[in-house]
Amino acid sequence: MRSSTLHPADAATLLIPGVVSVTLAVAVAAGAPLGASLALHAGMLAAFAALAWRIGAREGAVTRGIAVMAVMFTLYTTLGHVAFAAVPWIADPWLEAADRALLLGRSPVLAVEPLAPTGWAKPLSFAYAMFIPYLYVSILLSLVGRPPAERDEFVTGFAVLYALSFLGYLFLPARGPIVQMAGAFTLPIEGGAFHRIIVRSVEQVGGPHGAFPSLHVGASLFATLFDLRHRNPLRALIYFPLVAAIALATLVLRYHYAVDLVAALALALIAVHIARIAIARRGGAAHAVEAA
Amino acid sequence: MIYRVMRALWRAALFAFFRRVEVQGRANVPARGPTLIVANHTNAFVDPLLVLTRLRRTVTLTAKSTLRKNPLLAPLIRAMHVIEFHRTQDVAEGADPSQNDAALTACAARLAEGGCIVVFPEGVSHSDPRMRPFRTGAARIALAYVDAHPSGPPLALVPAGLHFEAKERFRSAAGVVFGERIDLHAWRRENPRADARALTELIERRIGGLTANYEAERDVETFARAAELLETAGAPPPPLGQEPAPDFAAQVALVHRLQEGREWLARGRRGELEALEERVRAFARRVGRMGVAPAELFLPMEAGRAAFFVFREVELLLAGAPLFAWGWINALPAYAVTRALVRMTSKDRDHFASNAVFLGIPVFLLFFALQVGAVAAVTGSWGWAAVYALSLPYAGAVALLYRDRAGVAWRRLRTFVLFARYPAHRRRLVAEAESLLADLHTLAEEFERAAVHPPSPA
Repeated sequence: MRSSTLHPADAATLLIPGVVSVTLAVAVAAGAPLGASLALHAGMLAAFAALAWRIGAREGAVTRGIAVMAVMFTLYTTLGHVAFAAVPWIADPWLEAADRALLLGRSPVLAVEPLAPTGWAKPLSFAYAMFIPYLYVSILLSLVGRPPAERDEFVTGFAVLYALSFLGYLFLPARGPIVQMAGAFTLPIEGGAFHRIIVRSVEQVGGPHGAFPSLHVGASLFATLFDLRHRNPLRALIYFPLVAAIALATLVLRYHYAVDLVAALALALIAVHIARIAIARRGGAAHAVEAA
Repeated sequence: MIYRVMRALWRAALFAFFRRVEVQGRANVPARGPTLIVANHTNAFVDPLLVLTRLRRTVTLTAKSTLRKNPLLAPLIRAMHVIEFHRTQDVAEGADPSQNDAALTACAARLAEGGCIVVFPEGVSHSDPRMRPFRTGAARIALAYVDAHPSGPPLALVPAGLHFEAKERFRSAAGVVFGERIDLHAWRRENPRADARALTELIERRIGGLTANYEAERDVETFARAAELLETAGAPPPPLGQEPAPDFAAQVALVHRLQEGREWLARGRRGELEALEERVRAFARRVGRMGVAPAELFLPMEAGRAAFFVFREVELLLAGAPLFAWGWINALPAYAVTRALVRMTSKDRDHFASNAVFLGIPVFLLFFALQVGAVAAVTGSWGWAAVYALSLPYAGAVALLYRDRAGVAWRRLRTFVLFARYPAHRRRLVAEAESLLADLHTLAEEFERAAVHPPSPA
């Protein structure tokens, strides 16, 4: 029987293309040339809504996990272009000011600048590049290798984390210190081959965007915390140094402000917490339905 | 302060020695108020530490007076305010049983302050298949408090069962099961004339209900093998990392049920019982010879699952290899010295884990301090020395968990390869396991029916 209750992962996933579509509709009405983007995001919203309706409340559906990931990864690339066109402000100056306030007047990004031309830049570039394999393997292991309730919790937490982060991308569009503070840096980044790969990859998705919050830190920390909570402390402990290195790398490679990392840390914790509560409540509801 | 530091160190030492420590029924221990915890005693100093490290509230330990002779333990006994009892069998070693009245008074005073005391009524740690006769000390402490404070804060008497998968084996599992607490004041009102012996019998029954006790050593193996087989339920083992936590309370309940069934069968069908026990033992021998764990008998032989298993384990073990190597190399000197000392000082199964825990703490602290000092000297930087110091416990924990995981992954891989190479062996083992399971279930049903409808005396 299809439950009338919307799955929390579906709710979080529907929220973000919904908000993006409304924002784009307002921008289009104001004369912005974003009709194609509006159609794309509205289409994505409709397609996911149809899929969510079809899957219903089924526990641990792998299809749901794949669809959520597909929506979120698509939004990751589209939001970079859309946010700057749809929202009439840039958040970089605010983030930079917040960053300086965090370190009592000094910019944390400039504070770590001396590391950029040293031997540290190469391993940090490697750590930054390792984010993608780490995230993809974590997703695969969670979708295939976990019991249904844990799989649902992972997908829900992932959806909540990305949805909340994309609200930041959309309403606080920022390109990061690499663009905002370009004139302030005096030292080159000697990151070697991995840094070149990172630079090329960033250019391929339309240049630096989505600085606030850092999804590199948020998503990798979420995966680690999830492993720690769900009977895999070894994997969590093994990858925690990588997460710490990714956090440092985002500053040294100038893609994020320190406030982006603080926000990412908070969002990862919130996502883990919300997912746990949402799935636990759902379990209770499911048992109540079965008992009835 | 000293208590908290020692508890943290002991917790770390128990984490290092045991693969996991499970606690069940923690809610039965009141968070405050006079509490007397009574437990079985099979693993020397580890037993009190197991209770002490699993509870947030401060726990007062009791110990035999002769422990003060140990130069490592004497300062700890003083610092932790351990209450010492002088046993009659230790008189030759300087014990003075006349001082026990003072010890009982100290216990009553600690309880009157709202403290929590842990006592082992057997009075001695042992490796017997069943609990030893209980002494009346714990009951006397409880009754002394209740009689002195008839309207004082109620005394909670909490029975506890301590469990060890293999108490002398490094990285085995351990557990504490706290049973339902007894309100001693209420018990006293219902039994105004009862003496310490009567309360001791009640304590013995309650702890007996939380522990598995056997007639003979041979029974331990037979029941353990039968219980292992029943726990598989003929189902595939869970994926690595998703094994449920050991449920010691359920294991004890299963053993008790098997024992009841055995008694029932022995009454009228002894031949059948002996044949069944021999089958269980023979099956365990066959499985043991193949090096297969009973839980893995029903391992699914599917290529897709096997490929995912290899992917998951290789990813984990490759990614963790550098940290494992770092943790292993840096802990090796302290580990080797601790192991040598433990082997030298452990004369029986009872003291192996205790010696490892008590000797391991100073040895590891000493070696780690020396290593950190060496790093500071070589690098000329206390910053690097601090980073190195932080890495030691972290990488050490990874090394332990990695070792456990690599071990079970290797065992499962080995079982899979073995079954793939010798499918006929696997079929025979599975058929025998299923046949044994079916017979045990049939007997269980007959036992249930006999219990519900006992045969008429006519």
